[in-house]
Amino acid sequence: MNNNKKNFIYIEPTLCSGCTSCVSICGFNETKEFSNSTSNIILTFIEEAGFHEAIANCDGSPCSMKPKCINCCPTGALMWGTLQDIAAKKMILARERQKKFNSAKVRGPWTLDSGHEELE
Amino acid sequence: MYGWAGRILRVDLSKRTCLHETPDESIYNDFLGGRGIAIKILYDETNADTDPFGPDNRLIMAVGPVNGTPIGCGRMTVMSKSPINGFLSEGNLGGHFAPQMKYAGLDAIVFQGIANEPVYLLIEDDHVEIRPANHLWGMTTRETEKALREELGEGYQFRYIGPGGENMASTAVIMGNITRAGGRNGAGAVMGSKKLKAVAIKASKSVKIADPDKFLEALDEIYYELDPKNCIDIYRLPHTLYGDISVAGLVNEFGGMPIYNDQMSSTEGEGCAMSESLMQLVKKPKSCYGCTQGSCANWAEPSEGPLKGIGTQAHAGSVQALGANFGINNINEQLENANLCNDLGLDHFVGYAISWAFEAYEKGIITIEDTGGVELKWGDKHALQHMLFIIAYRRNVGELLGRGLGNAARVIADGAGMDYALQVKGIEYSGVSPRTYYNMALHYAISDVGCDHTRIYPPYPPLLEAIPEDIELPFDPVLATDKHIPDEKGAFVRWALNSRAVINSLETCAYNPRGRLFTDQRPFAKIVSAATGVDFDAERLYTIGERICNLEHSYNVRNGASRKDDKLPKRWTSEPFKYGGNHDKFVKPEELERMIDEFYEASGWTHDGVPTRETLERLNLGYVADDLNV
Repeated sequence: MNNNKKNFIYIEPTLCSGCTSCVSICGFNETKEFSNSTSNIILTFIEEAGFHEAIANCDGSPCSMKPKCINCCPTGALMWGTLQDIAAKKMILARERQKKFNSAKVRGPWTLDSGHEELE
Repeated sequence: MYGWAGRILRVDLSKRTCLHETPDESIYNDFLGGRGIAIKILYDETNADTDPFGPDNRLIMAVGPVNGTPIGCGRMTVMSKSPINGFLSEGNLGGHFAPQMKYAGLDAIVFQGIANEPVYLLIEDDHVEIRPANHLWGMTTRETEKALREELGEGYQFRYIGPGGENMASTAVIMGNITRAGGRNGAGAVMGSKKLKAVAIKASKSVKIADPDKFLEALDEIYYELDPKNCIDIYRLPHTLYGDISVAGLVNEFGGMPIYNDQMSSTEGEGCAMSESLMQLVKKPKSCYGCTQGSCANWAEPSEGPLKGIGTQAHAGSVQALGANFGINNINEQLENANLCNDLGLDHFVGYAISWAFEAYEKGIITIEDTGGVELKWGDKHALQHMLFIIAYRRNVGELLGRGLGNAARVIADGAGMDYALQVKGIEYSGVSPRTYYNMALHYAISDVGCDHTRIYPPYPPLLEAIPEDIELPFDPVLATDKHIPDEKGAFVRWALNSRAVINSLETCAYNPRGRLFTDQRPFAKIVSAATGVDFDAERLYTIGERICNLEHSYNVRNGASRKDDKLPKRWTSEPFKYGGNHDKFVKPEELERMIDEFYEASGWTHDGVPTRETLERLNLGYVADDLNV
């Protein structure tokens, strides 16, 4: 498959609040138990700020291309799509942020099983 | 066991033993978890004779059945017997520590005894170890976090105290994740008295869920209700966009922002320092585990001053208590004060005790000798920071203020400043002026943990349009909504206390019961049933909340509390604001008495505030009735 057509999960670091909901949901999807050790999303620790930041290593295939983590993100930091999709979304974010910080916080759709249409 | 971990860790610091205990299953069914389990343990193991700073006092950290799942929001309860008044000390704090407790298979950690040297506790799954902490003693909270992380490596979460807690200043809090704090009515001081500097945890087990599909369904339902697009709550959207700092702007507009020791209720200009000036500094959102709203406190990096390039979290409490309250309107200075307060391990609401000292200085009750040579002038951040230091290190007048505002004001100049010492049961108030809302006035007066707004959070009655039609409430929401009449406030506060006790026992964030969830606890019942496999419905949860509140109040009654403790300081009951919104309002004493009467009646307590045997037996608390001789 052409790499440009391939979907992947991207986490925008400036929006990630480190809540780790995506990590929990990812692990839960697989094992039906909540833990922090089974997840395709890796947490890194930012020392001076005392909080986490998530980095995804996943193409959505464990969730049959409907990744659950995207929709539990409260800040809209998780994005899923092709390279072009994500580049476009990042451009919108940057433009909005110039206008005002708050409007850059695009809220992810909340329910766990909807909201994929936009990117598919 | 599903949902709960089914184990409690008991740490005896005198004997240096750590034991895992398996509590009886009935404690979970009757008290749910978190705050519920904590009060049950505290009630059983301490009494009126327990010295708060002695080895017999307990320090309890507890989590509930949904902690460790995203809806748990990283909240945990810290509970102890308060050194300020000998009553209950209860606090709730967020961050990333609570889920680790569940992953280590713990519902609670109970500390008892006193270590012979500074120690910290290390928990790695089932391995528990008490380690010396001489090298950490004396460090600020931020230094402690850094030192522990360097010592232990990545993946650990911590709870610690700063110099305030070490010196047993009663306003000291237990902190974690640099800015998360809880237990302002004595928990930090009790931790310091036990010579326990920190708790470190790293765990790898999991939280088992009885019905995973139903759990996701319930999670979905709660997420849907909390989406700002669907949530009917005036504060939900501003909270989501700006964090709770947006409250500072809103309360300033309608006149509920205490300024100059609550002499004024609004400020002009940038006193509210929200959106515009703050957003220039905000780097990114920073949240507790599983936050549902992005972040209640964004990470901000001031453009000047000592915090430049370091940053801190911006909370409404910091801006109000350590900023606008003193007429300090520059956001950089407000954050600087807040950060110093965090570093010293003191609660931000200590600002309201310090503002009393400023006013007392103005009136000549406190002199320049008492403060150690610093003039206390409104708007002077150096004077405020000096006060923070002397409270944390217990110097000069800080020695007295470190015992709590009530205890200090009673002694200084033979109580000449008592009328405007804004405290109840010795504990300074928490930033919501009771002259703005009558329900707040009532709650301040009757609260079991002193002047506090979080136990009936959100501190306003539910919006009428957000109440589902099929919900029956034990109060009339139309009358309860009216801010300045005493009607229905007793029944409303009783209901709010009981239902919020459930939220604190699940544990989940107090920001979650918003919109429909403010009054409707069915989604929470659904999620806790799915998690635990035990059938809870909304009524059963409410009864559990009532049981917890009654046990907490009985704990205070057993320690000597009665109606004489449920009163407000004179300023609130006789003086209107000098400037700002609600300027002609104060709490009329006869109306306050009426509200308290109605509150006792709604609770099933006597005229003196003692629970009746009938009430206690209805809640399966017969043994408590025996203890109280009622």
